[in-house]
Amino acid sequence: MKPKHLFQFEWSFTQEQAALFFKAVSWQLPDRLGVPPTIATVFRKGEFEILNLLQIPLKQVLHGEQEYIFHKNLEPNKIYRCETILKNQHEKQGSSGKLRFLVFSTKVCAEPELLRDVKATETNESYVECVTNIIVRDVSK
Amino acid sequence: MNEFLKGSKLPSFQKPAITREQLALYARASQDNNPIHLDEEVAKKAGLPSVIAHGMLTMAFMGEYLYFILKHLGWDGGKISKMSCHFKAMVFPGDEITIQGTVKQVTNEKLECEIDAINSKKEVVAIGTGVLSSH
Repeated sequence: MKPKHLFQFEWSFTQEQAALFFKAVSWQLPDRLGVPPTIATVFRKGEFEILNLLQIPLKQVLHGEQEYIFHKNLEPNKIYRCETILKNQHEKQGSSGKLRFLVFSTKVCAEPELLRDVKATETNESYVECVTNIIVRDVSK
Repeated sequence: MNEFLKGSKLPSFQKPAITREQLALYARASQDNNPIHLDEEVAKKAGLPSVIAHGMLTMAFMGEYLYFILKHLGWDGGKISKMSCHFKAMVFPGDEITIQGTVKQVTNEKLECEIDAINSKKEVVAIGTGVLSSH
């Protein structure tokens, strides 16, 4: 069954962006091994596209949880083929209004045909798998 | 080394106080331009006391910490296999975040640890896990 909300995209980051990321994090270690691991956050583009599609304003969005499984080192200037799926969503009444919880899963690969291949993960052909839990606050009250 | 025992505390790692300029830099680097991190007025209209730091900035500190631990363990050719973070409380400009870890599981080739991010008031703002491989 095809997931209801799915967004595929090609994405990349530059060496300069990785350098800016190190600076923004106030990276203190003298050795910079490749790129900062959480630069994988640039692949949240798919989440932002789906949030936009769902007409959820960013100002209502808080980040609940994040997970990364790294299979291969990310490299600057490489074109990655990515797929983001809205895996799950539910609502809950909080003390300050209704809260909506969304779970996104993003797979980052080099080759587009691997995106749909469940074996790609097992054979380490994906670079990173990302799972993001988002909380949407009701700010109308 | 006692770091290789389950339950051992790993060395902690302190980051300088977060600045608004840093949040603007991080927004550019991460391409997360949510205005609640950048625009005081928008943040307050959204019911927040002020702009808040990106949760992912705290997780980025954890990422740096895991490299610090790899180095500490002498696993120079090692890598981060997995990391996760649960954001527990908001982080604000001015907060100094300390990252500390505890060994959860360990073998000669793999170390799994729990990570806490703590602000200057000793409040836990995020908890996470990291899995490190020696090669």
